[in-house]
This record gives sequence, structure tokens and C-alpha cells, in this order.
Amino acid sequence: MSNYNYPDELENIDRAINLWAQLKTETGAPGVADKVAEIKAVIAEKLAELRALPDDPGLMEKEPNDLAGIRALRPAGPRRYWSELPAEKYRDRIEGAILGRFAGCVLGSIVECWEVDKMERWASYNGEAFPPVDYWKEAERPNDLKYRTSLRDTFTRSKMDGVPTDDDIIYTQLGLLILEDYGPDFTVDDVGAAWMKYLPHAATAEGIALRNLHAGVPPMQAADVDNPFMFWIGADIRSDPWGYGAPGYPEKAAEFAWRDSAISHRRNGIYGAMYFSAAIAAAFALDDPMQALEAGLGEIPADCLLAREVRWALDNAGAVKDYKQARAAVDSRYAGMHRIHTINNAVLTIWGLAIGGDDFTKAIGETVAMGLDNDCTAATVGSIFGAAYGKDAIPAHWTRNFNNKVYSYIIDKPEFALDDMFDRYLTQAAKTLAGD
Amino acid sequence: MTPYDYSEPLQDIERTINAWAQHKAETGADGVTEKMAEIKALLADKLAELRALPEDAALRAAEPDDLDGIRALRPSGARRYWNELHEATYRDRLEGAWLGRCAGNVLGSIVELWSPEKMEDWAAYLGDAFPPEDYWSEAERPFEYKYETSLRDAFTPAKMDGVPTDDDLIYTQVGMLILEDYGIDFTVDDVGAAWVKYLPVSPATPVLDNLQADVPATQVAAVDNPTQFWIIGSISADPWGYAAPGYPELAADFAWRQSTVCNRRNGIYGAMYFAATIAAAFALGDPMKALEAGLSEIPADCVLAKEARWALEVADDIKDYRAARAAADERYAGMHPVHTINNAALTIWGLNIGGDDFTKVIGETVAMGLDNDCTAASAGSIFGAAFGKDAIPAQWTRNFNNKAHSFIIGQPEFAIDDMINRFTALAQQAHAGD
Repeated sequence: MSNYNYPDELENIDRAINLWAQLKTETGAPGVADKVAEIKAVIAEKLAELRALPDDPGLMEKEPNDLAGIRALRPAGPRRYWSELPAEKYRDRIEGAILGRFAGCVLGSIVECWEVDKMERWASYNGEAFPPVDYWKEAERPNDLKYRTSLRDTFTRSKMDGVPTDDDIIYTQLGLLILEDYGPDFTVDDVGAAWMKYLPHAATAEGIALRNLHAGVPPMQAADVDNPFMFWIGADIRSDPWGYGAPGYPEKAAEFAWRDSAISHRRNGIYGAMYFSAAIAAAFALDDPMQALEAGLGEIPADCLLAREVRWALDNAGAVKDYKQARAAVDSRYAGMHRIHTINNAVLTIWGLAIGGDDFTKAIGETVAMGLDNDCTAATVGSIFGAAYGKDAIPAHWTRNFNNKVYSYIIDKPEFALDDMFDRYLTQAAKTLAGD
Repeated sequence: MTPYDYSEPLQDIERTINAWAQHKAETGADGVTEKMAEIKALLADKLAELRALPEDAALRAAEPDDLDGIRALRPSGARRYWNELHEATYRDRLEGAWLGRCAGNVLGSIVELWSPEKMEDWAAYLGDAFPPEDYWSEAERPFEYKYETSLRDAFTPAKMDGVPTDDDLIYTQVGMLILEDYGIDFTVDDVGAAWVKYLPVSPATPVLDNLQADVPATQVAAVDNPTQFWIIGSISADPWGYAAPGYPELAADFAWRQSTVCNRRNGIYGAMYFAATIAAAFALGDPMKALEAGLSEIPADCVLAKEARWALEVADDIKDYRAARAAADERYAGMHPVHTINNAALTIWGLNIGGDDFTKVIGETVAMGLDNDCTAASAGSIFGAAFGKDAIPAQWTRNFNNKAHSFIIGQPEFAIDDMINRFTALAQQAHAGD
């Protein structure tokens, strides 16, 4: 088995230091402030030493960041299934993919990163099925806002009016804007400009990249500065526009994703974006989620860790029967990995699609039930499912309160119309496949 | 002026170091495990150096831990108002005190440590008045348990059946059991034995772990315990006031024996101050006079005494929960939210703002935030001890159904009328001196 060798974490040492500093201050001990300053200085020094430890060059060779290097290490693959856009088929599939993505995200968003047993207790308290077969009846903390925009209770079936917002949703809108504003030859610099224009705030690797961009760091370097999150899931959740914008053309989808993810991620973080973009692009043409997940591997380095773990997940998918087994297998194999990492969540995404088969409700319900970054994984599951099977495969109850509206926290774009998004992606896809 | 000049705390240090350690492990960097071990060892050394900084000797002299030392530094005071138990008055007021304590605690428990802004949002979302005038109509996270015993939604009127459990309430029950099991001459060691026997957990303090590791009861509070000035003494003060009504000196003595197990210095004084205040409230019939009287049982120049005096002096300028919280935030910047001193100031102001209006007392006190289930419980207890049960509007007790649930080992439920009878018997013993 392949696994990272994580060290033991620090546990509550900063809390202990803070509490003792308070108590010593209260006893009038002299020198508390000096001692705390000294501790801060030694921590900064040790953190710098930790950060300066040289990366393993052998592993680095298998995990390049540049597109040419990545392509040199990818396995053989079809690269392109569609030479031109089958407009009618695409229009059905893009609708399925976007609706599926939004349904998966909305179901997972208000239980994001919950422990499985907490979701089970919440479902049981509300008298609901678990894994869920519809949106949650009630939201915990219903009055809190997600991303300063959508109340958590608007993610419930009784309060929903339009698709509430989430980062998984706005990046699907942002990618569309990038394609429209800069065309299919958009560059990493264009992505940087678009982020500064459209993003009011962002989290983890995106947050650091955005801060770096505003500080004048060039877009190609924004991912490298002060960013311990560069392998996390952020780029992966921005994959969909690239699959939607290059349907049946996984090589191009992965290339788009590379240009987008290079702004905030490196190595397996970039590959997560390329892999899922290619898988979505392939799903439009292959009509089968599992075949699409195999095909996605054609666009990332054959021996990178993500590729190896995806192959492991695909090899074992038949043996993983439900969310409990999925989560147990991931907890065992990826002990110590952060819960919003690319790799562990990619494995759950694959298993959610395998368990769900052609049953959309089961696919997103089981995926959400697995936990970890479950709004992201269920959104990706829904997207791939919809791209493979089209809109009629999505039961009506998942979209009954979408009302052709999608909320957003993109600057100056508070709302998108769903039908408009479908049309606009159709335009972009036609442009990409026409090669202009 | 602020009593303590805290240094800037470490922020997100651990999260940052752990994230980088994970990242470097993922890049296959050599030596991550060794570097993390080095960082751990270094931080442990630095923490030990911090802990070894010598205390200020003059402040230490003004804040003794032993009962004789404390008594030598206390101001003059009434010591004892009742020479015998005034039973009719007492029973009425005891019922008021316990019901008031339960009501304040239940109202605050499901919004414990929330900011006032968060409570305001929650009330607005539910359409509830704020400050609250009744229990919250819904609990956030209704399906989670408090202390593995009471569902959070059992703190709402629709779901309440009996007083749900909380640590603030079980310490009142444990105090009663200590007096019953060991008599009024119970010792610090007896308290230690009772904790081991009755408590499944001791929230926010290592004391129970220390007791179970066979550290002597008189020492447990001082071992590996940065929480020794925190509020736990104050929240376990009530049984001592209930058992020594009109006799603040004895109430403070009881409280000293109990809080020595979990606190030192201002933590102990918090217990003694509130126990004495509650004991005085039974006789004085006035919460604010009782809060003045409580000061006579703690060292005159300890920080708690200075801050309680300040809180009493400025009390009339503090008109509502917003002003109270702003004043506490300013004066106690950097103090932990479950500390004795900041919360004592809020308790005093809650009682002063509310006056003889129980709903206003606990509503405003909860609205101030910090450790607001503890502060509202103490405010309710003092209010009830001063004014009696009829001063507590019926809506606050309508679903109590003569039951108080508990997480005490082997004692899942107490009947409220039985608790009143049992405290009455204990108060008689205390006044009779046997």
C-alpha cells in the first residue's frame, strides 16, 4: 500500500501555553510577556526549518508541475472523443451535469465535514432516511450564512428557492466567466486577473493565492508562497467548467484545468483538477461514469500518488458496498491525511459513483454519508453522473426548488439563471471543439 | 483599570505547524518526523520555563489559599445573621433559589459562551424576544447531548420535561450529597472522595484525573492545572449557601473546603464569595446587599474583592447587557471566558439591572454572554434566595414537573420537593452545629 508517512501532530500545546501564560500573569509573575515573545520567536524559527526541509527529488520527478512535464509522464489515452460538438446531446448532458453538481453540493453543504455518526444522529432526530434520499429537512444552525450569502436553512427542502451558494457552486460560474472573458486560450495570468475581479474571498489554498495576487505576486507563483494547502481539494472542486467547456475532449479539459489550478495548487493538487476535468469531459462521450473515471487517468502522470490511489480505488470499488465501508477503508489507508485533501476525497468520489451506479439519489446520498469534504465529493459525483446520463436521470425532487436560479457571491453577480448557464456553456463548448 | 496585563496569545501556531508538517510529509521531505519531535520537545521545555516563572510575592501575600490566612485578611462583617433556622422563610426562599438557579442555567445552557451578536441573530431568526423573556423556542444542534445525558432540545419549552442536566446543577446536587454523606464537618478529603464516587467527568479541569491518579485531595487543584482561578468554584458555591442560610461565615467555610479541591486563590474566593452572598441573601432579602455582604468573607485586597467592589460601584451606570459586556471586555481584555472574575462582574450587573424582575435578571445576564449559563444560574439563585419562590414567574418552572435530571453516577434524577426537604434538614443541622 502507498501512504504518506505523517508525523505525530502537535496537540493542544498552543492552548496549554496560552492558559499558563494567563495564569502566570494572574499570579503577577514577572517576565511572562518576554517568555511568550521568546516562545513565538523559537516557533517561527522552527517552522522556518520545517518548511525548509528539502522535498524528495525522486518523488518530485514523478510529480512535475509544468504541463509539458505532466504530459510527458501521462499514459496513453484517447485524448479526444468528439471532433465536433453533438449539440443536442450535449445540451441534455450539460443540464444533467450542472443540476447533478448543484444537487450534490446542496445536499452536502450543510453537513460538510461532519462525522458519519453525527449525520446519522441528525437524520434520526429529524426522522429522515439515511443515507439521505432528499435534501435535509432542517439545517443545524439554520440562521448562519454560508459564504456570507446564503442562510443555511435555504439548503433545506422547505426553505430552498433557487440554488443556494457555496464555493463548489461559484467556481463553476467563475470558470464560465473566464472562458467567456478570455476565450479558450486563456492563460494563468488571465485566471489571476479574473480572481481579482470576481472573488471577494476564498478559503485555504485559494485564500492564500488570492492574498498573494493582491500583494502583487505573479499568478504563476501565487501557489508557491506561504501555502501548505497546495495539495488540497480546492483545485479539484474547480474542475467542472473545464470538463463542461471541453466535452468529449479530455486532453483539452485537463489543459484548461492545469491553467486554472496552477494559480493555487501544485502536484497532486493540480492533478486532482486535471483528473476530474478529464473524467467529466470523457463522461459526456462515454455515457458511463466508471469508464470516465478510468479515462481521466489518461491525463495525469502515471506514477503520481493520485494516479496510484485512483487505480487502487477503482480496483477495489466492487468490494466497497456502502458509505460505512468506504469511510472505514479511507480512514485506514489515509490516516493522518487532512480531511479536505485531494486524494482521500477523490477515492470517496469514485466509490460514491460505483455504489450509486445509475441511481442518482444513491450516488449523492451515499457520497454525502461518507463524510470528509462531502459537499465537494457529492458535487463532483453529481456532475460526472449527469454528464454521463443526462438530465432525465436526475429525479425531479432534487431540482424542484431550483426555480431556474443560482445564487452566487461572485462580485457583482449575485444570481445566475440555470438555463442561461446551460446556453452559455453550449456556446463555449462549441467554440472549444471548433478550435477557435 | 485592568487588573491583569495579559500578553498576546499564540494564534493558530499549532494549525500552521501541523499543516506544514503534513505538507512536507507529502513531498517526501526527509526528517519531518524528527523536526516535529524537536518542535514538541522544545515547546515542552519552553512551557516548563513559563510555568516555573516565580509568582509575585506581594500579591501572593494578599491572596492566601488556607482558611486561616483568608480569614486573617477578610474585612469585618456580619458573619452570621440567623442564630437559628427561620424555617418558613427559608423553605420559601430555598425553593426560590433552587428554581431560580435551575431557570437561569437552563436558559443559558444552550447558548453558553455565545457572543451577544450570535444570540441576537438566533433570537431574531426564531422570532424570540431578546434579551429572552422565556426559554429559547428552539435549540441550535437540538439532537446533541449535554453531558451525554440531556438532549439540547430538552432545554426548550416544547420538549422540556423536568430540569435538564448541566454541570452547574449537578454541583448543587453533589454538595447536598457531601453534606449528607459526611456531615457538616466534612473535610477536603471527603470532597475528593465524593468527586470520585459521584462525578463521571469534571469539565474544564484536570482535578478528577488527578484524584483518580491518587493525588491527595488537598493537592489536586495545584497539579498541572492552569484553570485553578476559573469559575468552577463559583458554580459549585450554591449548596453551601443553601445549607448555611443566614450564616455567611459558615457558608464560606463549606465553600473553602469544597473549592480547595478544584481551585486556588481567586478561584477559591469566587466560591466563598458567592456562597456567603447566597447565605446572606436568605436573611437580607436583597440581592445587592447580599453581594456587598459576601465581600466580608474573602481577603480584602484580593483581585476578586477589588473587582467585585468596582463592579458594585459602577453597577448603576451599567444599563443593559451590551453596556455590561462592553465594560467587561474592556477591563478584562485577554481574560479567559470561563474565569471567576469577569463572570462575577457580569453576575453582579445582571442582578442590578434586573432588580426585582426575575425575567429581566436572567434574561439580561444570559444576553451578556461569556459563561452565561453559570452567571445566570448564580443570579437566579441569589435572586430566589432573596425574594422567594413567588417572585419567579410561573413560565420559568412550568415544565420542571418536580424533576431535576442529573449525570451524577447512580443518581439520574432528583425530585425538586425532595431536594428542598433535604436541604432544610441540612440547614437545621448547620444552625444547630451538629
